[in-house]
Amino acid sequence: MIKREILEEIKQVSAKIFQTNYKSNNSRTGHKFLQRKLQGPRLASYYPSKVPVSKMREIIGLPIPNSQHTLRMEILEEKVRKGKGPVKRGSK
Amino acid sequence: MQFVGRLKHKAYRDFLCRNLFAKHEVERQSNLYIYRNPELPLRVRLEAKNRIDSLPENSHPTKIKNRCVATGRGRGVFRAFQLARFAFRLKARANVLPGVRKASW
Repeated sequence: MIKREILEEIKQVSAKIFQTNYKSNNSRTGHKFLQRKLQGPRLASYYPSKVPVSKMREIIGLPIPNSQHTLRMEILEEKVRKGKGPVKRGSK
Repeated sequence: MQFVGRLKHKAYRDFLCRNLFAKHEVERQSNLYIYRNPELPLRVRLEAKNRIDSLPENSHPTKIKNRCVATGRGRGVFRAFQLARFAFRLKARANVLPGVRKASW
């Protein structure tokens, strides 16, 4: 069994050598909150970034076709050909 | 803030919480340290506690929840895929998830 005073001295000297912090009373310094790694950037980038197509058109400057729009236009054309297009206002 | 596409409503709220948390994290941690340090004078510690309390509600880390990235579901979300269980199933059956196949042994 080592004496308490000798143990304390050893701890102080080793803290000096390894440049760590030594607490004589085992007191809580709140240091753990400083030691915590910052998680902000990691948590904030959880949702994958998706640039919307309208923004891409602005960024690139080239005309990007809107496939949903063209598909809708094609379907509408077929319906109009069959006579099933949108009804005019006021007609039965 | 990054472009995040069309998120569901609750997932968008979670997105805002995450950004707020990242914005105020340093302030929160430093004030927490001051508040929890018994070697500092009491006034300083109470002032630090006031500062933490005055931070916006949505910047609290406990408000952050791992939601499904596709459907915005809060429960049954796998961390590895960021997907809720049904969205995971749909994507897995469509062979979109690498390395995932139907289990049989």
